[in-house]
Amino acid sequence: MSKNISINIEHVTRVEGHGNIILNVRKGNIEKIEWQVSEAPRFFEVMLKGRNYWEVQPITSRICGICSIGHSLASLKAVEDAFGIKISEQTNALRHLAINAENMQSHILHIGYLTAPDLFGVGSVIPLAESKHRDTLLKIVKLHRLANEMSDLICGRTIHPLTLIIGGFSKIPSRKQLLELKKRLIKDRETLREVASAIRKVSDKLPDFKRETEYIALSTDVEYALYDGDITSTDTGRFKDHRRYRDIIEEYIVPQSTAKYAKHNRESYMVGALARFNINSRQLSSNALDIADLFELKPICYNPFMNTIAQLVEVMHNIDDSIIWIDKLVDDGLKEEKPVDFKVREGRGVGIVEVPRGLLIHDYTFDKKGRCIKANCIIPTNQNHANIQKDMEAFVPTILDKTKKEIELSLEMLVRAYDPCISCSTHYLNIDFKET
Amino acid sequence: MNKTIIIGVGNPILGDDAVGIEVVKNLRNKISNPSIDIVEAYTGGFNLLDMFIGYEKAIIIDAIVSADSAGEVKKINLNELPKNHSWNPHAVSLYEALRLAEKLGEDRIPKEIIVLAVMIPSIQLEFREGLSSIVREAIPKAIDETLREVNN
Repeated sequence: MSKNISINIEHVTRVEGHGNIILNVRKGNIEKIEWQVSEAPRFFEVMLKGRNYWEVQPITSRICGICSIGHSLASLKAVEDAFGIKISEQTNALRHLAINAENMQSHILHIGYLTAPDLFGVGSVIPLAESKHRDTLLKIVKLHRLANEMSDLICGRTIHPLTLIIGGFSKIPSRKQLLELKKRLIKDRETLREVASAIRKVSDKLPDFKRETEYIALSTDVEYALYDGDITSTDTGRFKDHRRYRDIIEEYIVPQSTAKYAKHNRESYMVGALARFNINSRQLSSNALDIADLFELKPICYNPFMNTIAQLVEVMHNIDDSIIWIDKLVDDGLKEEKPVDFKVREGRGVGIVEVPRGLLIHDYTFDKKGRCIKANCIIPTNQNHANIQKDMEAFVPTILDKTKKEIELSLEMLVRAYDPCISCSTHYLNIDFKET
Repeated sequence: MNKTIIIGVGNPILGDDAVGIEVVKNLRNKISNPSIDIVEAYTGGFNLLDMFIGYEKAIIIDAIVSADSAGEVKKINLNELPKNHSWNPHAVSLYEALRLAEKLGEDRIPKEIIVLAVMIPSIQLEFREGLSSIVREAIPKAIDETLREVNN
C-alpha cells in the first residue's frame, strides 16, 4: 500500500471538551498517531488551598456539569474520611439513589445524543428528530428526563446538588415522591428495552476491534460497585487500602496533553462502564444481563467500542438497583435526620466513587482548623487518555484501506466510545518537568 | 390544567434584567382569576418550554436591551425573536427550543405565545438587586399590556 493520509481533527465533536486527533501516513507507513488534549488546565486543586472543609464540596462539584453528583459524593466521602464521620443507613441509601440517577443521566446522554448519531448515520442529534428514528429519540429524551428529574428529587437540582451535605442530607424526598419515582422507573424499563432493541439493529456499525488491556474499577462483595468499594484491576486483583491509591495509579505527563496520563500494570488501562462490566458483571441485575445478552456482551470484552453498550446495560441496572433502594427506604420509614455530629481535626481523607466515566478520587489534607492545605483529584478521563492513544495505534493499521473520511469517522467514534470528559481531565499541569 | 400562563423571565440579581420578575410579582395582586397561572422564571430556552407546554396561551415578559427606547414596552412576534444560538453555549434560545419541539412532533405547544418586552438601557455586568428608575416606571405599563393580552 502506498497511500498518503493526513488527518487533523481539531477538535473532535460530540465529546465534552477539546481534544484533537492527528494521523500522518506516508506511502502506507504510519508516521504519527496522536490523541491530543488541548484544553486549558483548570487548577481546581490550587483553588481548594486555604478553603474551609465545608466549601470543598460546592467548589469541586463545579469541576463537571455532567458528573457534579459524583464529584460531590467523592468530595463528601473524602471529608468524612478525614474527620472520621460514619453516615446513617438512610443517607447511604439516598446516596445510592443519587449516584444511580447521575449514572443514568450521563449514560443516556452519551448513548442517545452523542453516539446514536454515528450509529444511525447522521451528523448530530438534531437531524435524528426529523428522521425515521424520531420515535427512538423521543424514548431517549423520555429516559433522560426521568434521570434528570430523579437527580432533582434526590439532590435538589439536576446538576450541582444542594441536598448532599457532610454527614447526611439537608432535605430528603417524601415517601409519596419516592413511590411516584418507583412507578416511573418500573414503567421506563420497557422504554429502555425498546431503545436497546433499536440500537441493536444498528450496533453492527460498532467496529469489531479488540486490544487486550488492563481494566480498573471499584468492586465489593455486596453489590455492583458505584458508591463504594475497593480499587480492583483485571491484572492484579483487589487493592484494599484506599488511601494508598497512588500505589495503583501512576500519573505522568506527556507533551501532547494538558491533562495527565495514567498507568498501572501495563502501559495503559481503561476505566468506565466497560471496566466495571468486565470486573463486576456477575453482580448486575438480571434485566441488565438480558441487555448484555442482546448485544452478546460478555466479560472480558476487549473492544472499547462496546463501552457504550456496557453503559446501556448499566442504565438498566441503575433502574433495578434504585427500585430496591426505594423499597428499603419506604419499608424502613423515612426519618428527618440531622447530619452526623463531628469534630474538625487535622489529617487526610480520601473519597473514591465510580462515576459514569470511571474511577474518581478526591484526596484532601486539612489543618487543625479544617482548612484544606493540599488536594488531589484523579479524574476518570485522565486514566483513559493513554488507553485511547494505545487503541488508536492498534486500530489505525486495521482501517488504512478505508477512505480518509471513513478513517476520520472511525477514529472519532473510538474517542467517543470512551465518553471522554476532557475539560474535567485537564486539572493539573505539572510544569516542573525538565526539557531534554 | 389552566388555560393561560403568565411567565416573568429574568435574573433577580442582575439589575434591570429582573424587570420580568417584578412585573409578575405585581400582577399577582391584580389577577384574582384562579384559572390563570403566574410564575417567575430564572431561566430560558428548554426550561421555558417545559413551563408553558400544555397551556393554550402563554404570555412571557422579559427584558430587552435598547438604549434608545428604554422604559418602553413592546409586543414581540415569535417570528421577530432572535434566531441565533443562545448566549450561553450550554443552553438554547426560546426560538431554538420551540423549533426543536416542533421537529419532535410536540403537539402541546400553546396556540398563542405572546412576548412582552420591557426595554432596558443596558445589560448589567455586575450583580445588583433593584431596578433603575426608568425601568421601574415601566412596570405599570407592562402590567396594563399584560392584562390586555390576558383578556384578548
